[in-house]
Amino acid sequence: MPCGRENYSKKKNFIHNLDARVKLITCMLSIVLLVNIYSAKVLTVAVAVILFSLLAARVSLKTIVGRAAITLFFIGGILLFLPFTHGKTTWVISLAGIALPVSLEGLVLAGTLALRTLSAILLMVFLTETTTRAELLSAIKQLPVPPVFSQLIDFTWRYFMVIKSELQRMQRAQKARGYVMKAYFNLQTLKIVSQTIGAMFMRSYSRAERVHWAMLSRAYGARDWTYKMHNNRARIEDYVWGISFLAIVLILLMWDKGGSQWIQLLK
Amino acid sequence: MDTAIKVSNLSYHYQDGTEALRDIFFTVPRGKRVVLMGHNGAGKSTLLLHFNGIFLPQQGTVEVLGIPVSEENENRVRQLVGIVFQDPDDQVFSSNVWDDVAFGPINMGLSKEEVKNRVAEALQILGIDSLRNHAPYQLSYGQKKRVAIAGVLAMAPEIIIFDEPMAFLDPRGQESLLNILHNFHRQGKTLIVATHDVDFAANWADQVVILKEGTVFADGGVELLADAELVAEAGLRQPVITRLFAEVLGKETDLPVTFDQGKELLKALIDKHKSF
Repeated sequence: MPCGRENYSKKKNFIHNLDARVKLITCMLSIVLLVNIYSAKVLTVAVAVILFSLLAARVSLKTIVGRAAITLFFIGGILLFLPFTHGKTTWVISLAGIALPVSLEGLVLAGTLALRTLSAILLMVFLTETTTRAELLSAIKQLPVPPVFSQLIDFTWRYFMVIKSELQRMQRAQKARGYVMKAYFNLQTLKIVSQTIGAMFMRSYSRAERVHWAMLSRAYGARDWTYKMHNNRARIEDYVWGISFLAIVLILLMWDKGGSQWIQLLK
Repeated sequence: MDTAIKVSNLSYHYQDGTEALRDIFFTVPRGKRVVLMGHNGAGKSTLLLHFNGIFLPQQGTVEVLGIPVSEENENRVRQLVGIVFQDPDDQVFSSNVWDDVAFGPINMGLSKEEVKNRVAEALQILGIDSLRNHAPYQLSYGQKKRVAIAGVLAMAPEIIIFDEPMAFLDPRGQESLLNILHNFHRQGKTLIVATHDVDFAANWADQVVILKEGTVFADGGVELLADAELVAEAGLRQPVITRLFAEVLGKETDLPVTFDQGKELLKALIDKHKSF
């Protein structure tokens, strides 16, 4: 089951079958390299390359747009303000009688930031839509990552599902006793929602205590909890894909840093 | 060594001052099936957590196979006593079944090969080998319960404790769990089950320990459960077989407790009726 939407797990292809560790390292390194690109043109090409990879992995456009939109929404505020707050005024626009100074520099910066964020998000979508959660967790555990980090991810996901089903049961019980949320902002709704959140916190606390007891009862703490039990070797094609993808990103970075001029200088 | 668990003068108070256990004395012989009963809040779960060293005695002693449960011995004790908790969601916390069953053996410091063997064996015994790569949320309640038991079994404990094992299981799940308990008993393991289910207790246990308000109210064979006054005082009830014959025969003593005893008595009554 992929970490993101579940529908594409059955459409397994070459990209889905790639070693999760290679995919994880390639995506992380690519993000580090891509955020150092400043040219909007180069970033556009990078976004196109990742989009092509996503479509080649048979991830639907709807999924890509949906997941990218959610994340972009959170940085939307910053991007929206940049043209009005950054750089020298290029134009002045009048909005409802208010004169707003707009800067071309700010616009370009907002566009570049948006493209950089988009490329990073698309790479994460690529990783999570083509890798199952179990594969990804196993990959993290096999890499030299502190065990507490992988345990944290493991527990978060595991108990997110448990707490989610507890919340659904509570909501069902509320509905069974005739509760219907009439409006989002009224005293009754706020009271019910805050009580539900409070009950969830209390249940989570006692659940955490019981889970800890269950861990202790199986000798937890006697030694490091390590899962490095499954050590499958990556295949040649995994490495070829990883190196090729990173090479493309490196070429884009070199292009951004004036690589074409270096070639001319060499001539 | 014939004693699996020996509890002497055990008392325990929670941090808020609530007295959970008071002057508890009892012994569990090795290889026996013991049922721990009592009303809600009688102290069953608190007592069970002492057997595994999760709670340490504040007063008195708990000995597991001759080893006193203390801070120094808690890891040793945890390898001898396994607990299957009531809610498998508390116990099955790993991202997949294999990892969860391997959790205990890894903590025991076993070699990779030994961990793999033990996990494979436990999955095989519980009949969940096909679920080895499944995430816990993909499993049914009964399957999660089996994973929880496999996780304990993989540690090869001498004593296995079950907290309300039948709770929320459908009849098929209960039947399957009974078979698992039966197999563990045949292997010579000491089994302790905390339950409210008097019918299960009557038909399964060798020894019944009834707790009331944090202390041992009664300790003996399953015939204790036929005592109407005693079970009522302990906040329990008689087994269905006992109640049925008490009603039909209109008497309060010499009543059957188990299904087999009821069957025998019924046969005898029918034979007697035929001979007239």
